[in-house]
Amino acid sequence: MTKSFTPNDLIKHLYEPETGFQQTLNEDEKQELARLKQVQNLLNSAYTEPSERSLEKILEHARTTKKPLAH
Amino acid sequence: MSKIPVNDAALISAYIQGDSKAFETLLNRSKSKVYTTIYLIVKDRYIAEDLLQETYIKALDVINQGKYNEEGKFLPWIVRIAHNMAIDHFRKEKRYPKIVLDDGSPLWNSFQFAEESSEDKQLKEDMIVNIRDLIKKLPTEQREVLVMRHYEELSFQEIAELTQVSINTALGRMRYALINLRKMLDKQELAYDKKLYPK
Repeated sequence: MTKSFTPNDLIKHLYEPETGFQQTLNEDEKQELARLKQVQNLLNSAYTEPSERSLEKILEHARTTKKPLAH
Repeated sequence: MSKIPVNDAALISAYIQGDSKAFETLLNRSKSKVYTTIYLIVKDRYIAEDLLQETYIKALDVINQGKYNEEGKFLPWIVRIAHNMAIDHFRKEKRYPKIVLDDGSPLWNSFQFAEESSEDKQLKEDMIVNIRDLIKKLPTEQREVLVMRHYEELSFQEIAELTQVSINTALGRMRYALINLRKMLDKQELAYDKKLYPK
């Protein structure tokens, strides 16, 4: 037997999944969840990298402010 | 040859003891998430790089002063600093971004990505660039929740507290963010199809 969920319940499950939740979804809700999952996966591809130049400045700061290496 | 510890807390301890390589490992692990968080808020590569440096320098100063106390949770801590830096930037400049969702237009603001978009790039690579542009087009409240949940990995409960709304409102904003992104993607896909297969 399935019970009805609000659209917000699907979003909550997408990011903070609870065990057994998916089994209680009806077909429409499963399809909607799958569509949301596709967008979620695409968001993972949006990560972008800073330039080497900016990283070098950070590393330079890390080197100049650290204590001498302990032996 | 010294072995680099895997755990973030161990890396911070090693850095505090004087091993700057340990910090380099931490930086390499976290840079993409921190930079993406800043970039999606400020929407400008140069400002994002400046704020990235300020974020890590602030974190380094806290660590070097012996004030770091996050029980090994380095990433959420530094992402939080980055988020605050980006928001503070707008407060200082008094120019919080005004986002207009222009569903009716096939064009998007892509000047930051001009160098990445050569004619030879494949469709998939274009899509990766475009998703960043599409996120930037979301209404501010939706983009804020999306960045906080997806990239900063805050819980909806934490987002609700930080943005002073109910959890339901935070969830609703996230839902509309994803739905709007999907609509924009569908529209783009249609545009690509028309371009690839003109009548």
